Parts: sequence; C-alpha cells; structure tokens
Amino acid sequence: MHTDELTLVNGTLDLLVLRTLAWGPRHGFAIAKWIRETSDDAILVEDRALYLALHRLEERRLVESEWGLSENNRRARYYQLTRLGRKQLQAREEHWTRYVEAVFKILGASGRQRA
Amino acid sequence: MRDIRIPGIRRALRASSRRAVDREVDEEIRFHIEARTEELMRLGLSEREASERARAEYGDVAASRRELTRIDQRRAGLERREEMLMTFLDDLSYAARSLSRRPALLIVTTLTLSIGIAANAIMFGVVDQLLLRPPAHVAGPDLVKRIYYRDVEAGQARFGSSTVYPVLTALRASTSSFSDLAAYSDASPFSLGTGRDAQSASVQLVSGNWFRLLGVRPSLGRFFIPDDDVVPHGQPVAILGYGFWQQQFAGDTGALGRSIQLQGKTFTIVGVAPRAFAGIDRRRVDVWLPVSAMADEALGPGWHNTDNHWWAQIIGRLRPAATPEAAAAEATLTYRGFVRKWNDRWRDSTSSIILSSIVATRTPEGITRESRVSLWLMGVSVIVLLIACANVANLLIARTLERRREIAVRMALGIGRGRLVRMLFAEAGLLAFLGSLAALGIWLGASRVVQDVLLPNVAWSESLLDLRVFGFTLGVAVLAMLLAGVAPALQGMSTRVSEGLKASARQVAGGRGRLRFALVLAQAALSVVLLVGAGLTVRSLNRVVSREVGIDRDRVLRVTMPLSSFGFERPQIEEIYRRGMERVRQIPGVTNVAVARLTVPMGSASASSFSVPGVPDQDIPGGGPYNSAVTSGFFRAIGAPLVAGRDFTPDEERTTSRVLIVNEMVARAYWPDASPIGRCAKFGSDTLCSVVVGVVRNVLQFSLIRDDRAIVYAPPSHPGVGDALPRGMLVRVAGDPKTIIPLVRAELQALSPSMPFVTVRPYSELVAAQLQPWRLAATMFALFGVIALVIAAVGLYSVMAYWVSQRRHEIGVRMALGAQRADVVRLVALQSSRAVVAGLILGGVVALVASRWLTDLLYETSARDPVVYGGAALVLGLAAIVASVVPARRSTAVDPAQAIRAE
Repeated sequence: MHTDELTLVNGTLDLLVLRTLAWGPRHGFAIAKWIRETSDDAILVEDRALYLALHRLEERRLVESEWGLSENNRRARYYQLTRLGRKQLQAREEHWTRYVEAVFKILGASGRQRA
Repeated sequence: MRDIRIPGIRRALRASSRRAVDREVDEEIRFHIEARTEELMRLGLSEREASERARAEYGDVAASRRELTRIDQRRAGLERREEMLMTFLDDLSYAARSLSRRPALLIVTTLTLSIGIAANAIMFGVVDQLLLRPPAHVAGPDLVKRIYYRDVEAGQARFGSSTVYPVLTALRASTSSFSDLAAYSDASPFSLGTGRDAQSASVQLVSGNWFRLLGVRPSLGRFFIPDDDVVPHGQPVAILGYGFWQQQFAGDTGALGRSIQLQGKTFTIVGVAPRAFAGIDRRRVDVWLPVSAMADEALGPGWHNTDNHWWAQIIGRLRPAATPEAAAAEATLTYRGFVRKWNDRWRDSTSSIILSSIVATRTPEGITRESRVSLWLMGVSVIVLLIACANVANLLIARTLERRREIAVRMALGIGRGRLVRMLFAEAGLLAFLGSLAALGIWLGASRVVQDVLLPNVAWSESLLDLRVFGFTLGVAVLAMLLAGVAPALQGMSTRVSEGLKASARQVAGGRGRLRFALVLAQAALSVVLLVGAGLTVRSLNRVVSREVGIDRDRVLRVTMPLSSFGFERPQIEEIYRRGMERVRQIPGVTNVAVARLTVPMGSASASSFSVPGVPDQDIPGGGPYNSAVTSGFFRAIGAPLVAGRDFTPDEERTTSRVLIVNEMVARAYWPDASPIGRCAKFGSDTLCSVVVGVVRNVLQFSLIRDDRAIVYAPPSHPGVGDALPRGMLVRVAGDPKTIIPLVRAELQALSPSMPFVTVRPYSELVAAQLQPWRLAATMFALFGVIALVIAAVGLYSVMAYWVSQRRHEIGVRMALGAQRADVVRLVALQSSRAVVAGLILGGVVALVASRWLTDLLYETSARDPVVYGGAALVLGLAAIVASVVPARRSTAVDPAQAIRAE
C-alpha cells in the first residue's frame, strides 16, 4: 500500500458519495470506481466502508435504491439522491468548502511566518 | 385513485420481508466483487489473482454483510410500520368523510354507543372498588388477612368476624405465621363535645399497631404506636380522618396538639390520616382512638380479659414465608381452646378460623348483597352496550349497502379483501373512538353521582380519573368496534363485483335487509330482558317499601342518648327523660311522645324470662320473647295498631300494675287457638301473674325483611321491669321530620351542659340502608331499561327509515297502481312488527330463564310475574310503534311520479 494514500476525514465519505450521485443513479461498484479514478487513486476507500455509507445514507433517506440492469445486463442495486439528499449535498459542500478555505488560510499564514 | 401513489408503489416493489433483505445484500456484494474481478482481469490479472485482489479491496465480506443487513432490516421494519400507519390514516380519513355524510345518524349512533360504553365504565368502577380493589393506602394488601370464624349451628355453617379481646392476645402469643395482629371496632357514632353544641362523630377504636400493620402513612403528624395503646389504660390521643380534619379544622396543620372531646373525654390530636383512607370497611371514619384509651367507657372495666364484649375485628399480616393455610391452621388451634372454654351451643370442635381477603365486600360466605347487585348491573350494562353496538352495526351495514358499487369498483381494481375489511372496520373504529370520548365525558360527570346515590355508605376512592377504569373503557371500546364492525365487514366481503357494478343505488333484493332486521330483533329481545328486570326489581322495591312494619316510618323519630356512658346516674337519667318528654311535647308539629325501656325498635333489644302457666316454653324463631317497657300511648305514637284489647292507661304507667301487651307473634306462639286477653303470664323477675290486656301488631325490630320478633310489653311500673333505664324516646310528628329533628335535638341537649349528642333519626332513614340493595337494583334496572328501550327504538327507526327510502320506487309504483295510504303504512308496519314481535318472544323466553338468578334480589315478587312480562311487552310495543310510524307516514308522502322517475 502506498503511504501517501489519504485516509478519509470523518463524514467526508458521505459527501463524496452524495457528490458522485449528483449526476444520476449509480450502483455501488460504479461509485467506488468513480472515486478511485477521479482522485487518481489518491483516496483509499475500502469497499466495505463505502457500502456501509450507502446503506446508512439510505436509512437516513438521503439516497434511495432500486434494482436495475447494469451495463452488461446484470441485476445491480442502483442508488440515487432523494430531494433531501440533494439539499444535504449542497449544504455539506458549502460547509466543506468554507472549512477547507479556512484551513488553507491558516496553513498559508503560518507558512509565511516561518519563511 | 389514491392507491396509485408513487412512493407507495416504489415501497411496494421494494423488498420488505426479512429474507428478501438478506438476499439483496448478498446479491449486491456479489455483484461488486464480480464486477471488480472482471475489471482487474481486463487489466491483465489472472482470474485467481483478480478475484483475490477484489476481495482484499472489499474488506471483511462477512462483517460487511452483517452490518448492511442490520441497517436494511431496521429500515425495512420502519417502512413497513409507516406504510401501515399511512394506510390506517387513509382509511380513517375516508371513514370520517364517509360518515359525515349522514351527520344526524352519526350523532345519534355515537351518542347511544357512548351511553353504552359509559354505563360499562361506571359499573366497572363500582365493581372494581367493591370487589376487586383492596382498601386504599394499604401496603402489601395481599399479605393482610382478615380473620373470620366458621362455626356450626344446627348443621348450618355460620361465619362471623367479631370476637373478644382475649382472642387477639392469645393469637399474638401462640401463632408464628403473622408478623403482626391488630384489632379494630366497627365505626360507631360518638358524641363530639357536650351540651347544646354537641355533635356526632364516627369513631373507630383500633389497637396501637393497627396503622403500622396496614402500612398506611399519615398525611400529617404521626399514627398510633404500641405505646399509645397500653392495656388497660392507653394514652388519650386521637387521629383524625382527612375529611373530618378538613371539615372541623379547615385543613389547618395547627390542629395537631389541639384537643377534642369525645364521649365526654378529652383527646389530643396527634395525626391526620391520608385522604380517602377509610380503614378496611370503606365506611367513613372521623376519628381513630387507641382501643385502650376508650375501652373502659365504651366496653366497661376489665374489657381486655372479659369474654363478654364481642367487638374486635382482627386482621393479621402474614410473614412473607408463611402460607395462609398454615396460618389458619395455627390460629384455629388457638381458637378451639376458646371454644372448649366457652362451651356454648353455637360452637363445637369443628369451629375454625378462616383467613380472608381484606377486599371489603368479600367474605367467606361470598360477596355481599350490594356487590351482588353491582355484578348484576355490570351484566346489565353489557346488555346496553350490545344494544348500542347493534345500532352502530346497523348504521354501518346501511353505509356498506349504499357503497356496494364503490366497493365493487375497488375490488375490480384489485384491492385486497384484507384491506377492504380494514377499511370497513375503520368506520366502526372511528365511531367507537368518538363514542368512547363522549363516554369519558359522561363518566366524569356521572360516575361519582351514581356511586354516591346508589351506595351512599361507601367511602369511595376520591380520584376521578382512574387508570384501571380508563383501560377498561378502552377495552370496551375496542370490543364495541369489533362487535359493530364484523357484520358490515362480512356484508362488504360478500359483495360480488359483477353484481355490485350493475346495482343501482336502489336496493331491490329483500334478503339484503335480513341481517339488519335480525339486529333489530336482537335489540328488541335484549330490551325486553332489561325491561322485565326493571319491572321485577321495581315491583319488589315497592313491596319492601310498602311493607307493614308496625311503625309509620316517615312520621316517627327515634331519639337516643348515651347517658350512662356519660356518667349520668339513674335519678338524673329518669329526670332527663321526664323533662325531655315535656319539652319535646311542646315543639310545634310533635303530636305524641313515648319512652321505651329495654327493647327499642331498631335500637336496643333485651330478652328476659316470660312464661305462661300451663304452656311449655316456646322456641320462637328469632329468639325471645323480647321484653320492653313502654309508656302509655307508645303504640299510638309509633302507629302500631292494637289488634285486640286495649292500651296501657296513664294510671297503670304510674302505679304498680301487673298488665301486659303481647304482639301477634307471642300470641300465636303461646295461645294459638284462643285469645290471650285476660290470660295470665309471668313477666321478667316477677313471680306473680300479670294479665294480658292487649295484642299489638308485630313491630319492626332489627330488619325490614322477614324478621318479626316476639315481644312482650309492660308498663314501666311493672315489677318485672326492675330498674331498667329508659333506652329511647319515640316522637311522632305531623309535619316534615327534617325541620323538627334539629328542634328536638336542641331541646334535649339544652337540658344539661354535660349532655351528649342526641341522635334523632326518622325510622325511614334507619331502614334506608336495608332498602339500599333493592333501591339500587330497581333504580339501575329501570334506568338501564329505559336507556336500552330508547337505543333500540332509535335502531328500529333508522332501519325503518332506511328500508322506506330504499323502497321509494316500489311504494311509488304501488301508489300509482292505486294503493291507499293505509295500505302503505300497513306494509311498513308489517315489516317492523315482524322483527319486533319475534324479538318480544325471544326476549321473553330469555328473561324467563335469566330471571331465575334474579330471585334472591326479589322480595315477594315472582320472577315470572305475568304483569311485569305483559308490561314489558306493552312498553316495547309502544316504542316500536312510535319508531316505525314516522318513517311509515313519510313513505306515504312519496309522490309516485317522482319516485318512479328517480330510477
């Protein structure tokens, strides 16, 4: 395993999953693949954790699932955002962005001081 | 259609069973691993490598499966419940809309149902408190046992609960099954204060450990401790009942330490009992005193080791490890020791002790008369509920019939039968809910009134909103819903799609109404049963009330005053009665005054020797003869007619006279074939002959019912009377006794500053308690009978109105073809009378069978009294005519042309 793979901050996985589903219904495998590829393998998500997140989101009514046919005609469980999920995604994205900006500011400031 | 709601469908398609959830989780994980494996193979890995890598990336598959399944099961369960709730709410709102289309019928039906439910709740409240519930505030009531004595007299078992104080002492010393044994007396009236302002208070004497044994906590101050009750002279301390404290001291906590005077003796108040605590017998108690603090005065010196004063009721608390059987066996051994010592004819070696529950009205002999009546009434209220349920069922069946087309449409669209039944039950449920809400209102308003009016001597629990009664009411409502809902549901289920779709709003087939007429029949039958019950009980109450008892109950007052226990000596007592008679005679409205010694009606009784030369001593039922010494004019004062001979003269009253008057019972026993007038009899300690000068009607002595006693009367001057003191004054009034009672009391209490409270009570009141079970049965049966009748009439009316409305077309055709109004009315009347007459017959038969069990509540009334049965039939018939005449007349108002065109 690579040492520079990032482990996920708490709650971030939920956000990533919601984000992934923003473009439409996907099954779990597709979500895992998308996260892996989009982050250039930088973010390591154990599949078990991903499914746990999905099912919890479903329990909290942020996503709902339905069985459908996959690209190669196999039965797969598709997840899609609910209205509530969409709202949550928006709120969390804003929160996350503000948070990251704030962290960057601090990192930047201390960097300048040391320099 | 509301069933095609998108989320509902989605959910319906989703797996919701437990097994389906498991399967889906498995499938989802398998799909993931297979897809990843294929992907990795495309990148050039071998199948084995790819599969292993895919699994490794996934993590612990088994653990994942477990956690996902758990989440999904939870979610599926929640969704199932939500779905059920949604359907339920849907059904309910649909039911509400559908019922509100006929508001008048809805209101009437709900009201009748609520009366049925409320009647049940109220009667349950009564039965619960009388028969099921231990006395309030008692801790661990199951371990507290009341001691009864089972003796055998002439082969007949007899149960008693009174005993003498030494029995308590012996039981304490020789039994090990009880952790505590305590004694108490029946509550009796004591004088509170003396002289003009003397009042009466209900006092119970208890042993020092009585409160501790019951585990009751005082609401103020302290309760007795064993040190208060020291044989033979205890501490003069008193505990007040909560109500008495409120009433006499306005709930002032400063009452503690103050003193009150009872029977002329001063007591210091040390505590106040909790609200609604009324001891074990549920009778109102104003003050509790330690036995030993009052026993010398109330029972006489040496009270603690005499076997002559039978006053002690004993309770014991079982040790948790002891069995009631072992405790009873132990106590019986002790009791048999006393039985051997007493060696009397009422007890033998089989006499034993029985431990009984402290639920007030349960005794080893079974339940009391009052409780039996309340159980009967509980049954009666169930009948009222059944009649009301039939009404609800009728309404719902009508609704279901009207909706046949709609139901058929739903069924054609594939709605499940289960769902359909739920829909139909929702209406019944809604009605039951509305009904029980209204019932709760009725119950809150009426239950206390019913309790107080019917059983005024019982100290009822004060809390109004009672969880048990509430739960019971809820149960009754559910039962009502099921009862009322089952018929319409069956009706709805039997709807055939093809038939329903074709049917117009008009009801053609006659068979459809059969169920409804069956319900009317049942209502009529049940009403007859109740009306018969009402008739029988009212008739026997009348018989009891109008029974000749030798006393004009409403006109005669009994005056008693406990002078000896207040320390008055013989000459003073004679003086008080002499002056008292004079004073009372002056009161306007008082017509006669007499004084009785020895035996006073509904007061004291005394028996001494009586013999007739040449006639063997008679064993007269009820014992005796009792003897009494009365002033001249006594019989006129109480209104007892002399059937032969004459009254005593004023002269005989003053100067020694050997004359006697016997009552009819004595006359019949000693001179069965001849007149006793002029015969010789020996009275009391006198050895010489006295002459019988009169025969008087039997006079009420103890009990209103079947309890005549043999009594011999002498003038006070008769040597056989000895130094017997006056025991009571009898006052005949012309006006309203209520206004005269306080005047009599005031005159007498003013005679001396140390006068005790003077008890003045009309005989009507003295016997009222004995009338109570009869009055209770008659009032409630009559009330429930009328309610049942009204409810049944409403039911019949609604069925007939519906029947007529459904036959509008047919009636129109008939009238168009020349039928007269009378013919149409006859058609309608025939229809209703068939059901009613069948109901009458059925009800009559049921009543004939059921009334056998009512026999012991009846007095000189046959359970098959034809007048009562005829009367019930007549009343129901009249109600039926009224209920069907209105719809019948309305039917003749049909305009034929319009009715036919409406098709």
